[in-house]
Amino acid sequence: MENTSTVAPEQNPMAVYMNQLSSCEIYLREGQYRRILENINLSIHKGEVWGLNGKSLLEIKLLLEIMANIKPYYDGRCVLLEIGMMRRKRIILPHVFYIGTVNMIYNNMNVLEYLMFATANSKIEVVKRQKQLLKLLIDIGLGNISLTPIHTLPSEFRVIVILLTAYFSSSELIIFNVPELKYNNQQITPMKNIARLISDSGKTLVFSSIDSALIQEICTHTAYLINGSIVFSGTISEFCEEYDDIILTISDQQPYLIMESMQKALPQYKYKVSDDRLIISKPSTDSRVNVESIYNVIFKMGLNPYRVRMNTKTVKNAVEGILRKYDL
Amino acid sequence: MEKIQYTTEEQIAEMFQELDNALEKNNKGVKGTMLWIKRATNILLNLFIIFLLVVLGFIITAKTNGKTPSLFGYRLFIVESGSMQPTFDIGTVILSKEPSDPSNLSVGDVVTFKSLNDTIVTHRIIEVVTDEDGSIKYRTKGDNPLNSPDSELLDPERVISVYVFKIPLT
Repeated sequence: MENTSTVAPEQNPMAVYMNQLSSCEIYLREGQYRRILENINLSIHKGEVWGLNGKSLLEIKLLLEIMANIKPYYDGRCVLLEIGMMRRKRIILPHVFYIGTVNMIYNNMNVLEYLMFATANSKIEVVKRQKQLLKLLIDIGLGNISLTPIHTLPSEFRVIVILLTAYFSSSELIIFNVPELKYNNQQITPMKNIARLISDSGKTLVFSSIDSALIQEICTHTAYLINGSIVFSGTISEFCEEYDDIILTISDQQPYLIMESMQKALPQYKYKVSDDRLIISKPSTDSRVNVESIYNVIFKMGLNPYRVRMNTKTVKNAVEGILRKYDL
Repeated sequence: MEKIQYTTEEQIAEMFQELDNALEKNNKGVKGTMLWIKRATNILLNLFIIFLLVVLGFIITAKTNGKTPSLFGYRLFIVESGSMQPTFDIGTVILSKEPSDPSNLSVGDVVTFKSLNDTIVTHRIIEVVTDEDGSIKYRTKGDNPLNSPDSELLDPERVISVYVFKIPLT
């Protein structure tokens, strides 16, 4: 299994450094055991937004729990904000804001009241602060829940409010570990805005998610875990470039007919039909792609498909690509 | 879980109105007074800091020139001997003022002066002596009953300052 590491910007100090880390927790199968996390190498710099994705929720959740220092690790090294973490320690340090549950928010307040409570130590005069917070909620796209009682909010909105609270805290590293939640567009927009605020303030956000759209929208970097090891870590564009091998999609009422013609003319590419779309991918053995030749074939053969669309690289396609590569 | 009650634009507008009213009230009312008190306190504090800095400046300048520090003619001295007991115990801090006319002092005044061997002494004038040429000199003596009057007469030019009061609890 290969490990890819990122060359992070030199100017930013390290927020998280993991080297050859393995977990205490193990899988036991037919008398054999394997550590859930093994040989984890990860370097996260300050000001970056990382989305940890993977095949197993357990693995990514456990990795972030170790990162937050609430679970011990068996071997290797874990350094948070340039302070080495003891292997057996199980406390969350003050410079880490850990979000591991949706229940760490008070139900008896509305969102604005809760934020006022969370920023009570601020020196800004109360009414001014309340006005600033209300404006901020509207600016980041949470105006529609700004005065909504928290007990009526779904879990996704609750964790977004907690994430905003984390931005106001003095903690430099925010670990957002609720990967079981799925967000809609109405929720992804405020998350993206909060992530930008966090990043701009020099803080680091690391979150676990299997939601490719969310990672695509809000992260600067991503890491992908398969079978307890990180198989990729780097920027989103590097991830898409490396694993999203779809070149273009052709939409037509008879995609199979087009596929047959294309296969005869350009057998080096991979073809797959999904609904009314023909997906053309680059071959795994040869990364050279000549899009012009594909267009020429379509034109010369007089195929006249309904729509031909160049693929904009996405995390979703890259995840599918990585799973294909590792035969999962 | 209850159905989510989204915040409407009307509710937000109402909230902003409420906040604006509260801000206006704060600016006019008690908060305004508090603000003035706060500002006045800040000004006084700043003035006090400036005063301390000026005093410090005077002390440093005087020390650099080998003089006793003085502010507006007032000086502080620490009594280092028992010659003025029981009036001043050793360690007492006294405040004294430069006289406008050193030749016009009277009996009973406690004066700080430079002795002929360049030490600074604080003693009481016990006699005003007029020389044959009409010049004024003072005979001085420490208050300690064991002391005898000082052997040399004091020229008014050597008088540094006249005692005003002693700093309590020193």
